[in-house]
Amino acid sequence: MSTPRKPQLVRCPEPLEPLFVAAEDAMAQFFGDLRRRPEKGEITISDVRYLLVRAASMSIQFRNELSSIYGLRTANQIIYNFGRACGVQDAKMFHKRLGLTDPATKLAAGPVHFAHVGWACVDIFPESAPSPDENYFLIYDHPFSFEANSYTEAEIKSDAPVCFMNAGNSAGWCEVSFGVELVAKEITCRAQGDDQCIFIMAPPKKMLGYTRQYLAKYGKA
Amino acid sequence: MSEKDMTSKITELLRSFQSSTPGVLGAGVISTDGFAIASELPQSVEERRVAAMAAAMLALGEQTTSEFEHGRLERVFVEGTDGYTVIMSAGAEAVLSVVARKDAKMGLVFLQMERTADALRKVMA
Repeated sequence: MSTPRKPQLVRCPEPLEPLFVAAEDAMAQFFGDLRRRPEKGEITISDVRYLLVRAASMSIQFRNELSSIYGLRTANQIIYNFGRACGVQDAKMFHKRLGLTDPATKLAAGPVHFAHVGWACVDIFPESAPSPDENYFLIYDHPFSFEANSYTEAEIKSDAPVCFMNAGNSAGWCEVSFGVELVAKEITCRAQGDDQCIFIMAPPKKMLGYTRQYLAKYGKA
Repeated sequence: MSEKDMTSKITELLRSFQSSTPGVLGAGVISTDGFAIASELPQSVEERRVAAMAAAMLALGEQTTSEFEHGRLERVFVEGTDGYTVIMSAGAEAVLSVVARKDAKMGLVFLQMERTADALRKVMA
């Protein structure tokens, strides 16, 4: 008997592995067709137009610029909502294009897409319990988050988490996948000297309770 | 206090505020991140967007107050031709947002909001 394949881009609880292997196959095909046409000022992947943006510009500089006008809290909110908008629209497009209908399969495509577009990898922790209702809960790490990496590479230490675009994008994708309103919050962040960028995701009205619980668990309360 | 108990206590405070303050159409408690914690808002209102808006407006109000060295922000007050929106801090983690009709007695609304915000701080401590 052959050993089942393991996902290469995502770490997740074992029962979810076949979903991610299938998602990796589908996404590899999509992202295999990358074309750069500088004479037309265009980059396409399987005929879908993409943009290349320098990671540090989209994290450090963008955040600093917004922050200088709107303040840090509002800047973080804007960045979160920008990420969420991308997550919602990308999820809708890929679910349709790949013909995905089941919530768990729809979710599985998200972290794989995330890895291919260079935002981060995703490790889903075993205590996660994604379900299409108010009990939805996800806890995960974003290794190589482009936001945290930009800060560490520039040797800027933040006094708070910085991966708001990552948080918003994952919440948007999962919200579309499961059809329930979801929000995500980063609990620990490499940009502030932590080992991992750990996020929790839940319906908004449950987030305060989870935030307190997991900040305490990770020594951030 | 459990999360469930805290949420029902917050909802109770919002209902009590609304019933004791004439002219109030709705109220919500929002995290400073812009996520709804509890709300008693009119059904026509999209909670997610309004929550994000209220948190952003409070943060902008604080930024503006600080920029002009006007001390501590008391509240953000938005007056339309047909009604008011008032937003104030309810502790380090929460924002209280209230929607009122044009004929509401705003002195009373402010007073009741301050009392409710104090009660929220205690519940969420």
